[in-house]
Amino acid sequence: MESGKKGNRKWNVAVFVMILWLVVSGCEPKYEAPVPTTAWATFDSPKAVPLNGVSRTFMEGVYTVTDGANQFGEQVALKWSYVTSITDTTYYLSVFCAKDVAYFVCAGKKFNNSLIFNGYWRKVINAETGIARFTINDQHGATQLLSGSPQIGKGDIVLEGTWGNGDAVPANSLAFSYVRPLYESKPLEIVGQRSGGRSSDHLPVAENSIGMIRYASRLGSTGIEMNVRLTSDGIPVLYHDNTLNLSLIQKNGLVGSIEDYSYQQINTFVRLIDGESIPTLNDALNAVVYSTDIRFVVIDTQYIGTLEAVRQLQKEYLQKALDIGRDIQIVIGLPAEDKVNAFLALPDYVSAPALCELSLEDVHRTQALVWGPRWTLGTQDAEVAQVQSEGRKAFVWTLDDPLYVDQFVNQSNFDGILSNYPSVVAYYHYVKQ
Amino acid sequence: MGFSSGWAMAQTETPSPDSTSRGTYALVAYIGGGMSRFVGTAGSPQGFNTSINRNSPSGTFRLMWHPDHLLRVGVESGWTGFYKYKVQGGTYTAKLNHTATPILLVFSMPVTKRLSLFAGTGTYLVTSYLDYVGKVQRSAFSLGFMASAMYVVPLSERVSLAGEFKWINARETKDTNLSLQLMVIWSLYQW
Amino acid sequence: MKGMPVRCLGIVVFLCSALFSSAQDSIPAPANKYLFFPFPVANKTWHASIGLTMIAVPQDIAEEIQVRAPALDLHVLRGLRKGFYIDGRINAQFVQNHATVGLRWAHPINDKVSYSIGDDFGFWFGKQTIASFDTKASGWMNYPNVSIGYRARNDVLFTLKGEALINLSSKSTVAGMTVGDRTTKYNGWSAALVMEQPLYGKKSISLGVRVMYTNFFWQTWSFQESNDRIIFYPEIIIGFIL
Repeated sequence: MESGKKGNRKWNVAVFVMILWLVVSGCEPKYEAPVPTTAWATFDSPKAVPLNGVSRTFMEGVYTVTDGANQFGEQVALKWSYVTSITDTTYYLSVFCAKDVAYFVCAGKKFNNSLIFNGYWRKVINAETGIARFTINDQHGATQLLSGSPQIGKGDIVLEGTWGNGDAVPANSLAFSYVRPLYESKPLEIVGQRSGGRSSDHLPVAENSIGMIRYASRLGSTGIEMNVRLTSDGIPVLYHDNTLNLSLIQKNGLVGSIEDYSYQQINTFVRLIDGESIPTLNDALNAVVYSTDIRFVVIDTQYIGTLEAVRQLQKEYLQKALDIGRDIQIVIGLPAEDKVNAFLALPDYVSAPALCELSLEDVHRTQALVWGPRWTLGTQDAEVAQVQSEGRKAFVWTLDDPLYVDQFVNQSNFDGILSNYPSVVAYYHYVKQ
Repeated sequence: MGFSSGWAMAQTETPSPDSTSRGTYALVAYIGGGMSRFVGTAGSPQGFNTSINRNSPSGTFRLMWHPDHLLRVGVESGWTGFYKYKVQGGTYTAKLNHTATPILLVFSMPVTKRLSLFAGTGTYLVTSYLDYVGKVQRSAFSLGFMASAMYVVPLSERVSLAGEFKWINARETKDTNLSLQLMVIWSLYQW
Repeated sequence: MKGMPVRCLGIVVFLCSALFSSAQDSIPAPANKYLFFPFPVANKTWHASIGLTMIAVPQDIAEEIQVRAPALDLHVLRGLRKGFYIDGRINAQFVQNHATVGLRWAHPINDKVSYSIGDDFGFWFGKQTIASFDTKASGWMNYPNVSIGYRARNDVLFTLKGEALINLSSKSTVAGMTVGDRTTKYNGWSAALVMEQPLYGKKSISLGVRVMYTNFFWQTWSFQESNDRIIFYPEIIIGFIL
């Protein structure tokens, strides 16, 4: 053999390049934003007791970020939400920021004469997260908040604390100073899509899950939009994508779509990425009505077919909410002509609340409660005024860009906004003046 | 003296880059089969009595063009099982079978006289077959890759036998197999 | 600025080239054509290849809107004088496409090793229907780059190329309304290892691996608008040199 070929064989690594790629592509980093471990001895001590409702309510408001503005922006909005279980109600303090779609979720307690808060912050546009801890001491509002009837003015409440990165003990200073109450003149429904948020944003819970339904209000949602599909045996379940894929579910060996499998097959074999089962619409509405403060639900049907099963559940849970005194609205989403036709085929469609995304003519035809145009059509002030004069509402979708969220919140007359980033919508709404 | 099999012919007749004439081209088929072992996570349901079989038969069909240099290019298909599992819970027994058909663009190069490396990329048609309260069979495409090492023993001018150790990965469904296959290499046509 | 390491390396290499300029004239070019190997291209000569590139997109952020197909890759060099040549490239997936053109200056150090420095300007555009919205985006990019090459026996050519990925401007619109409007920003970097060697007759093939660490890549514009993460993209390059 010629020495040239021998020498060439020494460099016979053409496929090495491809093998290198295989190795390289197998070594990709994992993208995740795990919730930090927030154990804090002070917060967990027996001396720290739950806050009362008065304290919680009066500390809600718009705050100036006097320390930490580089990280979280100049201004934030603080709001409480809750979830209930059979035995307990848990309250969470959320802080909504405009910068980087950041938010905080904390629990609060009374410790001696102070109020203490323990939780974490997260920026949704990337995976940055970390521990956050605050204190309101007796000289900066605690005395007022713990009294029976607080009188709160600008600067009367100061949350002083620290923030950190990941599980590291927080060491960066952070301070919020009270400016004014949250905007409440005209309510806005803040509707989080995918039942509150997307799996691709690496939130602590999977999209369209019971966990997300319970988490949604911490993200600023007052309402949620659920994506519903039918299994092969006609059970409505929550799932967004056309296929079973590893973006949304854990590996289980199944391929295809939800519609290919019965509910029993799905429930046995499929788990969402956070380990939860795919919920039925029945389970999801049950969670909304009985364990959250969510007050608006849009049922977005992703399948082609009859709406009968969805309508039955809508009726059932509207009645259940009424029975326990919950002020909640559940609407069937009508995004396309085939859905409108399926809706009109319902024998009692006249009394079925719906959100119609098409023209005003279709809104009248379906007697929809809500008109839901695309945001790209603009603020449509005249059309919005018209539907509102008819006793209907107008919601706009899907607003994610903070620039447009700000514009629509402050310059339009819509009654609700659907968004993948409800915390941004919450921020711009609550800081309105 | 060199082996005159079709597989080896391209090596012995490779011209130097400065040569104005070309060497022999060959169209070579690789057909084989063997056993594979699944090395990823099967994802069987938790909390049940589950038995997972990670060993499956697999087969390869590859058509390669052997030009007059050392790098070869071709296409590959075939079939491989990834895994099957059986789940027993209550009164039911569930079975799942997870397989794939590769459709790949493949490159190869002989490293020594008898040892060649292969690498390829393309798509896998991944199929799941579920038998649990009804039977469902569905398929989906997944981007994927393969890499292998092959040791060849020429038998005649056109036919060789080879043993291949292979790694395949269907990336989107996170399925990875290692397999050992016996291949027949047949030089179909030379020009 | 984060792009400085690539730029500084380029400047150092350029300044060192004066020491070796006399070597250039006596070193013959590789017998077969090349697209990545950093060696001067003869004046008024064309080198061209056609092939494809394929990236592996992280599934957990891609959702269902990713384009799961390789990109057609057309790559052309046009030789100028004194070691300069123009490098042009088009990557097409039809719903989204990317073109670059740039100037290179290459210099052989000896008969084995050579290097080049260059700067490419790129334009990309894409159009998709996302969640029922007609969405379009486009942008201008800058890619300062340096390459170092090693010529093995029988003209097997290895190239290691480093590149900075700089967004000059980009814009995305939804139903005609501007939603994303980025100005100049360093996005990340990439490194590629490419091998070019004879395939048949006088024709060669390029086989390469490129890794990118970037918070923006043109093929994933449709789902990167709303996030600011550094994402790892491996890319395979296959080109048949004509």
